Amino acid sequence: MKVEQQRIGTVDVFTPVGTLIDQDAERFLKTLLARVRSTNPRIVVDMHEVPYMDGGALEGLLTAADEQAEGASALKLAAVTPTCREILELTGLSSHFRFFEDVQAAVKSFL
Amino acid sequence: MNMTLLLPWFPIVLAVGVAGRVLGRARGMGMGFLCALFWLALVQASAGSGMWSEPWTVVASLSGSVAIVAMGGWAGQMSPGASRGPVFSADSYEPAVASAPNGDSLARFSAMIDRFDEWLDGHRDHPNPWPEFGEFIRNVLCHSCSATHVQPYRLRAEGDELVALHEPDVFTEAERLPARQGIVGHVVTTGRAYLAGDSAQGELVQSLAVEWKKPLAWCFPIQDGKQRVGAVVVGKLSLAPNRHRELLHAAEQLIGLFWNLLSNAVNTRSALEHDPVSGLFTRPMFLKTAEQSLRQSYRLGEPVAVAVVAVEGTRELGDSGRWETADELVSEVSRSLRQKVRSDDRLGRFDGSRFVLLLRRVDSELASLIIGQLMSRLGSVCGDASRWGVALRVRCGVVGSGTEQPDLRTLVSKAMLQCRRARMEDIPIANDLTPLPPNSTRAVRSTVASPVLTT
Repeated sequence: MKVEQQRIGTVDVFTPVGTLIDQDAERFLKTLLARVRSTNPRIVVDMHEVPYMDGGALEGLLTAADEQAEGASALKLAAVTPTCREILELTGLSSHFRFFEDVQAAVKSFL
Repeated sequence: MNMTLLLPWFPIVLAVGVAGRVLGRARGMGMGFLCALFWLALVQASAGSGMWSEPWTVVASLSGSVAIVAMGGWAGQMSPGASRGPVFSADSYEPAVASAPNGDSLARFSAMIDRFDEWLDGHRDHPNPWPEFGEFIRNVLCHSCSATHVQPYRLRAEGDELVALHEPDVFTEAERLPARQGIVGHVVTTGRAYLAGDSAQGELVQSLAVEWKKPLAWCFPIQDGKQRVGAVVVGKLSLAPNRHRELLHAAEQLIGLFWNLLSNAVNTRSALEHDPVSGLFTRPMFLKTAEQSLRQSYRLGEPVAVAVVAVEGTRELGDSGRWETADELVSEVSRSLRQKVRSDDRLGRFDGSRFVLLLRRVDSELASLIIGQLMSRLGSVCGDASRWGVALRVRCGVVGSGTEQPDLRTLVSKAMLQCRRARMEDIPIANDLTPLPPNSTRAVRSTVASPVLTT
């Protein structure tokens, strides 16, 4: 699994490609958390290439979202696939995140 | 003399036969009588009046006359369309020509019934036979009544809308009609069929039909006893309604009968597959459908989790004779479970107090999170000791398929073991994950340690 990272203005966009499970999920979340814990984090996770994620990935995203919330910000998820969205809804954790149709909409929300 | 008698007899009797087929029995006999007189006159003109002095000539003349009259009557009885055979053969439909109901029509309808029996046998175990039944109705009405543009509708439970008989509950404008408006609404409300061009219908019906913007030649209700359950709308009918009213009425009755027979078959099958108290799949049916889902998930490379939910204390309710309360409890628990599962998850009542779920596209950890949500809901259902009169506890065992892809029975057995472990360790949920150290995996901990359901 690879993680693409790009910067649009002041916003960091992370795009994991592939299923977010096991070690892949750990690696991605380590990168994500490192950015979350840096100064002035403005982060969008583009989920359109993630067909599925496991409990570990969900927990990591939740940690990132909570740490963002402590800094009065929110972790923004863009283009979440139906299965991942379903998982977030079923586990009752969707309220921890903000969802956007696509990356552009998520980036614009920081303006 | 013989030739004098016979030569004109043959063409006359043939002509009477043809005319009789066209005119019907009574008129055919009348025609036969006139032709018989004409034949006798013809014979007398050629043989002279002396022919009546010979006894055998008298006998032959009278016999020939009676035969001509009989031919007219016989041919008339066979008309119209009598020799065209049944509507359906055993294997295929055969176009029929419209006619008033007579012995042949009965044979045609009898063939329709046979055809339906055959169709029902082939569709009895179909998960949803209704869309194909709609197609069957179209074929039947097309071939028995020359009806086209046929659309059968079922009345929705709310009773305000008629919808087509197909599976996804998404309908185009043409596939849904208001059940209380217009001419179709009139048919459904009153239970009386509408037939365009039928002079017996009142002005109100005619005006409703005029206001109807779509093609409508015939519309009849489908009834289950006195209750309306649907309607069939026919856009085009190639029969004269006044002449064939009885044929059409018989077709209405038959379609209604087929509809109710199918409905009974579907209900009977559903009753066998579902537990009557919870409304969930029975154990055999759960195993059957879950097996199919599991195979599909493995084929797609999806993870799967199985959860066994046990409600402890229901036996106590049963032993104390409070069976209705126990049933109510089971009913409420199953309702809560149903609300949480997705359409392609599988849920069944395994035995008196245990329910089993197959959750697709989730691993054990995610399933535990989902079940944690579910347990909170079940906690509010079962936690009211004053309502149930006994202390109830809900526990759950969860296992995931992992990479081994075990079969369903193995997964269910393992989930039951986890459920037993939950009882022994006195925790709401036990799963097949490595025991979690304190202060890790907040999400899992927060749900696994959901409120204890002791009452």
